Amino acid sequence: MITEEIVNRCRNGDKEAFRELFMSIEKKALATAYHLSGNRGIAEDILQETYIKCFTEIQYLRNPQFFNTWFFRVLIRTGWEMSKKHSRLLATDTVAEAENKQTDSFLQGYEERYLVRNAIHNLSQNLKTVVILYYYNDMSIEEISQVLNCLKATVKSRLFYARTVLKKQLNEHFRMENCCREVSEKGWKTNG
Amino acid sequence: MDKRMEFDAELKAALKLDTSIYITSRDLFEEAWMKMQQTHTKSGYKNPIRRIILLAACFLILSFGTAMAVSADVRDAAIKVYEKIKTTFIVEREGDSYKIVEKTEEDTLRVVSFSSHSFTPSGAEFVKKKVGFNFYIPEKIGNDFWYYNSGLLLAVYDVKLRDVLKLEDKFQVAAADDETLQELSGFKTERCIGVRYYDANANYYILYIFSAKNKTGSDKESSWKEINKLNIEDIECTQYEYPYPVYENKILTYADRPIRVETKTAFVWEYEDKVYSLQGIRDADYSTVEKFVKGYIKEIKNQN
Repeated sequence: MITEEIVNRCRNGDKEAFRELFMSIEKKALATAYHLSGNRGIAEDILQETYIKCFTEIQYLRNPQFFNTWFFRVLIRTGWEMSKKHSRLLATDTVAEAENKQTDSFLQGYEERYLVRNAIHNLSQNLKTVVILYYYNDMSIEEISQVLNCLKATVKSRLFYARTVLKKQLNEHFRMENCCREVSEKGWKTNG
Repeated sequence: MDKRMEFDAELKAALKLDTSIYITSRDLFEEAWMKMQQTHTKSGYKNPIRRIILLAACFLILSFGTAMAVSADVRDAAIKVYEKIKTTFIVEREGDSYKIVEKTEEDTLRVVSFSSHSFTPSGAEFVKKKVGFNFYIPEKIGNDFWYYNSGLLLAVYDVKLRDVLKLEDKFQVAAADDETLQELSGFKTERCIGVRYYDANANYYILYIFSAKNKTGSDKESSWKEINKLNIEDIECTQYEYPYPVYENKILTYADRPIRVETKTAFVWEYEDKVYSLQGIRDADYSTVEKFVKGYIKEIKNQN
């Protein structure tokens, strides 16, 4: 639990207090950075940069209760900046999860998840962020509006639009995939 | 499950990550902390925490107990490593002049100050508990000086250089952590605060505040020289001259030796169980420093 005492210690430059504070959200933060950037290495850089900013900017955190919102606001902005910087260099990283998968059924599930995740990754920055915060971080519309510093209505419309785009993209993909499969099966039968 | 919920579940599942993603290839926190300290040192004292350390390093701290001034030896100086022998250079007074003296690990230093804890005036309550006295940090002194930053410091008196090198991190933590301070009970320690102000000409002044009740201090002779006694707002202020080591590099490193020694002026006064020691960071003329002292004393009196 994030207390006023621990945030005050951070404000006073207490390293151990920062460590304690960050420990409680590191996993979630790293995963969020990973979803934003699509790359594990960049995600680590984003998180590290976020930490550095927080060390110096915690003085501006008025209410310790809003630490999470404040932290994710810094993280998202840092994530946007750094992902943009690296966007020309790297494609979505799939290595992290693909390494240890062996069975066919798992691969099929993995492939589907990868397709959906890839579709999310290809969304515009604003839509992608809302999707990540809502579906991965389990934040409410209100919390997202605080993190992104925008109206709740804006979050709702972005979420609606993101769903629409994703459905369309994924439907098209599955339709195409079904067509390919049909052609392929017919071909196999013909050849057979 | 309706289609919308099904789709939502699909999105949620897609964003679930393998646990391996949480294992980082390096200690992000430690690296970040180190980078923050390095960046802020390189960029010219940007970080208040480091700034206070460096300021404390450059200046002398007053030991109020015997009204003697003492020097922040190690930070005044640079630690040099020749093979496995560590030495440091400190400034000592010799009659009316000063000399740079090399000290070994076995030598005792008058006082070394440590700090890793900056705070703002609004966050001063925590610090008041740590130092054990109340203090007031005005945002502005008259129309001439403005608050810049402040830090909680730990002064360690009569300490061997070897212990400083060995326990440096611990001393820093102890500046704000009671448990760690307790572990260091074998040393003569005292907490105090340092507050930095600046004027329109970008001159910086650092004001150290100690408890006058605490009698901890160094037994060694000080390098400070009493110059004058003044009466400002009915309070007796003592003016001191103290040595100011100048280094080739603006940023102090442990590998540097001072290239020369200049002198600076400090004002020291006691008021309501606290000892105040004002030291000009850069060159500032005497009348400006006096104006600061007058203004500050006035602010404290007004606050009461």
